[in-house]
Parts: sequence; structure tokens; C-alpha cells
Amino acid sequence: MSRLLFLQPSAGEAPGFLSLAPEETDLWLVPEAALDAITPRPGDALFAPMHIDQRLFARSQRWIETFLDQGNTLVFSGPLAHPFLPDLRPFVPLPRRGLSDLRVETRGDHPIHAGIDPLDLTLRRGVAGFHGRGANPPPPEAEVLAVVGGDHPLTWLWHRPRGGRLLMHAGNNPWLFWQDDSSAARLAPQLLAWALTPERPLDRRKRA
Amino acid sequence: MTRRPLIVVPDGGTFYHHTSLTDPRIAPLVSRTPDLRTLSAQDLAGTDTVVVPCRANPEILRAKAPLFLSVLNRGDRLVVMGETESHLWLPGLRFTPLETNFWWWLEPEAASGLTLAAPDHPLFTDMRLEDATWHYHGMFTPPEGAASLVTCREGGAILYEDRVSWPGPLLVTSLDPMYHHGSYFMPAASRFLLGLMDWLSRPMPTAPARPPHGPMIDRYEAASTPSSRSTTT
Repeated sequence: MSRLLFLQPSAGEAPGFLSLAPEETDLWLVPEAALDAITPRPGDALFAPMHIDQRLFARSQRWIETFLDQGNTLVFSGPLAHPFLPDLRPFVPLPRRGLSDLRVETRGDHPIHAGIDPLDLTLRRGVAGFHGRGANPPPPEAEVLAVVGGDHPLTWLWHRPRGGRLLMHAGNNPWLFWQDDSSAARLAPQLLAWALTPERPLDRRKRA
Repeated sequence: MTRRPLIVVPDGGTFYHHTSLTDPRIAPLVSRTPDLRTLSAQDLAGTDTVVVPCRANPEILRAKAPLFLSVLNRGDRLVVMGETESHLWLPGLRFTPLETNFWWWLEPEAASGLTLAAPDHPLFTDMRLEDATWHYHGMFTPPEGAASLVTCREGGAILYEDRVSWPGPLLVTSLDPMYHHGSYFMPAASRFLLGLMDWLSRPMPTAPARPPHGPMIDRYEAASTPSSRSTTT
């Protein structure tokens, strides 16, 4: 059974979108100050949402590295202020943030974006900017899944050479749209399903 | 003779606290940004103003409440921003959460429902009502004698100043300007934050305004210690 560790600033109720997680998911709500007390297990996915204490999270670098070394999946959202791995750099906002600069485009055919019209990620009620307004610079090997404002890497996936997957989204929590009446609502369940499906050894070999 | 007030803003470690506190327009106005998680009395010693940033972790704020109360009790200023559950750790606050209308400005005959209740307050020398206007998550009912600065259509205040309940002045808002400033999303929130910090950092008299006995003396002695002198002008 896959275990989903959802980081929270303090103990609280589970966010509604987690009801979309696959039925067999073992959900753990983890207060951010208690992360280091959790023992990572192969097959874990950790979600680090946008309101966390990033400075505290970055102090857990060794824990995060151990977690990823096991081949686990980390989904991080929010502009990065305090990099938690040596390969990461702080958030760079878009140079211009007018309506036409905030267009989101998806790249490739990653399953988290299947069936989603990028326009639904760009606009909510005609307002642009919810999904993100800049980029957390990716490591060179990362695969860009979505861009904003032309070529700024808003969402990317990095298969860490030492193991593990980091899905980085430099904007609002990507499950923001989960109750929207648009194709963007697909993002939350598809992200959960992807994160909770551990990479098969075959996939790993193919990449290598 | 005047000097710049010594302002401390505990840092909750979020991206928006970082963006706000390192903003080149704000950083020079703030003397110290201690880690909220390990905040101590020493971090707040000798300060004139302490700002509790919006969306700081309420669980930690509850644990640190005695430190913030001591700021007010010694006669210094406390500013408490929104989404901090301040009514649960600051005595006397009456808060009513409201359903947030994020989209009011898209509605026909759009109106924010906000009113500038004290246009002569010095905070509004440079700041306009529009700068406090994006959306709000709740309202306060200020205690008798406190001054509502910005009120909402539901009848309460989203920004008020209380100079009667404590020896020091208390400024309370339900707005969350750092979050929006740090998200590069709400220009009004940025103007509000910059306007607020600018007002808080206006020069103050170097001599205590009260008779030379009581807690004010300690404050000015502490403010001239070597560790904090570099920030005074």
C-alpha cells in the first residue's frame, strides 16, 4: 500500500482534495515540525504544500535525501525561498506579469496533464495567474512539464541521479482547481495517482 | 531629535515572509527578523514595534503569545496581520470569519464594501483605501475606545488601532498583505504592505514622551546597546 505523507504547518484536518487519492492510499498528515520523526519507507510520496515553513523544511535536507535515495516521490509546490537540496535555486518571478504574460502551456504528454486544456490552467473566471507567476529553476536534467510566460519552467519533474523523483511546481498548490468546473479539475486526481504509483524498475532502466 | 524606530518582524519561514522581508524596499526598515519558531524575549528586547506577519503559524503564535503581550505591556507597538488566529492568543480580540468573495470586482456594479473610517489617521497620509482593497477573510469588532481604520460592509473592521486596552498601541488587521506581496499577485497588497512599513518606520522622538520612570526607560536603554545601535539614526 502506498503511503502519502502530507506535510502541514500544524496538525489539522485533511485538505478536501485528498479524498481523490486512490482508495488503497495510506494517508498520513504530518505536522511540519514532526517530519524528521517519520521513517521513510520505499513507495512513499511526500506532498509539501505552499504554506509550509520552508526554512524548517530545508533544515531537513538529510531526511529528504534519505527519502529520495529510496526512490520515493516528493511533490513540492510554491515559490522556492529556501532550497532544500544542493541542486535547487530560489524562485525567479516572471519579468512581466500582465494578462498575456501569464499564459500556461503544458509540455510533453505527462499523465498529470492528460486531458487538461492549458487555457483552464491559465484562467479562472477570466483571471490569469493562479497557477503560477514564475519559476523555480530546474536542474539541467529535469523534464519541463509546464511553462508560463513563454519558456519559464513552472512545473518540472526531476529524476534525481541518486534516486527519487521531485515534482516541482512553482505556484499555487496544483490541486487548487480540484472543484473547478473545467478540465483543470483533472490535475489533482492525476497528480495523486501518478505520485502514488511508484516508478517500476523497468522505467528506471529505460531512462538510464 | 528623532530616530528611526527599531522594528522586529519574526520570520515564519514561508516563501512570502522571505520575499517580503528581503524586499529591498522593506529590508532596510526592519532591524531584525528572528525565526518565529525560536523567538525569545531577547529577540524582542529594545524594540519599538513588533510585527506579526500574516499567515504565521497560529500554533507557534499561541505558544509565543506572552512575548507579544510583553511588547504591549511595556508600552511598545504590536502589529498583528491577518490569518494568524490572533483572537485565540491575543486577549480582547473579537473576530468574525467571513466567507471570502475573491471575485467581487468581476460582479456588476462591483463594490469592495470597504470604507475608510479614519481618513485623518497618519497611516493614510500616503496610503489610500484602494491599497487595502483586495479581499478579506474576516472582520474584527474593536473594543470601545479603539479606532476603526477600515471597515467592511458586514459592519466590522478589517483594520483598527487600539490605544486604550494596553500601555502600547495595537494595530490589528484581517488582511494578509505579505502572502499576496510574496506571491506577486495583488498589487494593492504590495502597496498596503509598503505603506504600512513606511508608516511604522517614520522617525520618532529620541527622548521618551513619558516621565522618566517606568518601563519606557528600560526600552531606551536597551535600544542603545551595541547590538541594536547600528539600526538607529
